Amino acid sequence: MAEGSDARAWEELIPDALGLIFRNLPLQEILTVIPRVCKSWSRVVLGPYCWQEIDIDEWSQHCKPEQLDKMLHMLIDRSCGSFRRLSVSGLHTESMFTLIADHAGSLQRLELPRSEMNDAIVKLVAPRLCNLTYLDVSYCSKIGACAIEAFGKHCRSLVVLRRTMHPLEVDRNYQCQEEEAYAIAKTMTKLRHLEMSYQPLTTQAVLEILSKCKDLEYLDLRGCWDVKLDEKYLKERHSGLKVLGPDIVDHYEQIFWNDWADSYSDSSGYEEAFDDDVIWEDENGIELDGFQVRFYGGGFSGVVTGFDWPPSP
Amino acid sequence: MAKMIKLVSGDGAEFEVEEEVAFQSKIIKDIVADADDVIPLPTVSSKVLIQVIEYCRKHAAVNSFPLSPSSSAAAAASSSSSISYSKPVSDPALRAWDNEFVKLNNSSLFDIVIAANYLDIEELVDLVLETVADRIKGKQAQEIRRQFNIENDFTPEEEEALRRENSWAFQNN
Repeated sequence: MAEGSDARAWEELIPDALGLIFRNLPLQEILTVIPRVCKSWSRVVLGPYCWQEIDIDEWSQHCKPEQLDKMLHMLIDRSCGSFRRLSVSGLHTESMFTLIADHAGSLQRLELPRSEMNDAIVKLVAPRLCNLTYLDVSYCSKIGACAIEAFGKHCRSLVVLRRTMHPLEVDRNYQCQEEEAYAIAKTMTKLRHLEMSYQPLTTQAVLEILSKCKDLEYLDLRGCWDVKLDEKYLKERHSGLKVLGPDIVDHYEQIFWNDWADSYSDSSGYEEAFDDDVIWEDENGIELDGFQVRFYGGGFSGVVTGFDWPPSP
Repeated sequence: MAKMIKLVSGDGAEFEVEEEVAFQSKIIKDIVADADDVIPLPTVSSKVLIQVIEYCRKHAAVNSFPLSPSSSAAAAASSSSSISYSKPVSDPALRAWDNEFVKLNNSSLFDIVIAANYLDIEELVDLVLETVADRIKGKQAQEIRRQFNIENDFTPEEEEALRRENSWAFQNN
């Protein structure tokens, strides 16, 4: 290897390595700065290596509907159908949903919070999402047990389901939410991680999930006020399971846990406020190896502070 | 006495390392399986090999004691579905060590990532690429070119066209 000169041919680094470097950058940088550095970097941004993971969640929360359509088409095109992860907020047309399903051959992680798809569409496209291992359908208010069951039936390798709902929007129809829980118990038996915050569930429904989803390691029930789980029972019968909630610790702020080290430094403002040792002093923390964990909280007076929820109508 | 493997750099220097250290490299692990204990690495200089071995030694010690059963379960789940999320290094001390390790100039990082890629040491490749991404983040194109010694092969017209190309997506900001 030439040791003499200090310059290295960064522009010629193999495309998949460059793709891996770029994909960690903010969307605006990948699309407007990187292509202008040099021709070979521009080519990488046009091609699939950069877009194996398409994360436009944050951007899509502020864009106009036609922009979302254009961006989705563009990035799915660039990935040449090889994207393994897609994270986008506020999907609102049937055609967007079918576009994704049409190219989901490699898709394993699908995050569609705040989407407006309904049960019928989900039933239609779920068969094409059969490789999913991770699904986030939080705040999707137009789907119910039917959609959950369709996902469960077709995504046989699902290990993560995030189905947090907006506490102010939840239809307090216990029947309906119960059905979702039973659909999960019936069809998603390989789940290891399940989030059902703010769903009006009963203890019975949760126990049904626990009895059928034997691999469950993490269960988020914050805001599920009617659920009463006996700690002793949990320790005896489900010792590998970590349960969060229903109670929410006061003085939470919303933080995003992208990795463990950051979580230790980010918690600096919170130590004095925490009473709940179970969450913070457990030396195992929440073992999610690369999964994102979002914490919601704050007083339950109906005032939401700094949460990522849809603006009130 | 631990089994030793001999690595020979491109410039002829020899390094004896414990098997578990050398096996951080999947390539070496495979070669040794074919009963070959002396491994020539013609494309890796001794300077880079020393750094790579240092990394492998540190991570071999940690990898022999996985942090917790559920983290390896989650890792198994994600590996069986062949997703390679950039797995965060869960041990803060190790992460701190890694951050010190990559305090190198861009040329050294380049050499290390090429070698790590060649030797198939996934965590080291990820670490370097993440570090490089951090150095690019927030910079303008010209600054990036300067930092990485990249020649601007666009004409001014081409560059201007590129500047406009995706601006539609960010006009709300």
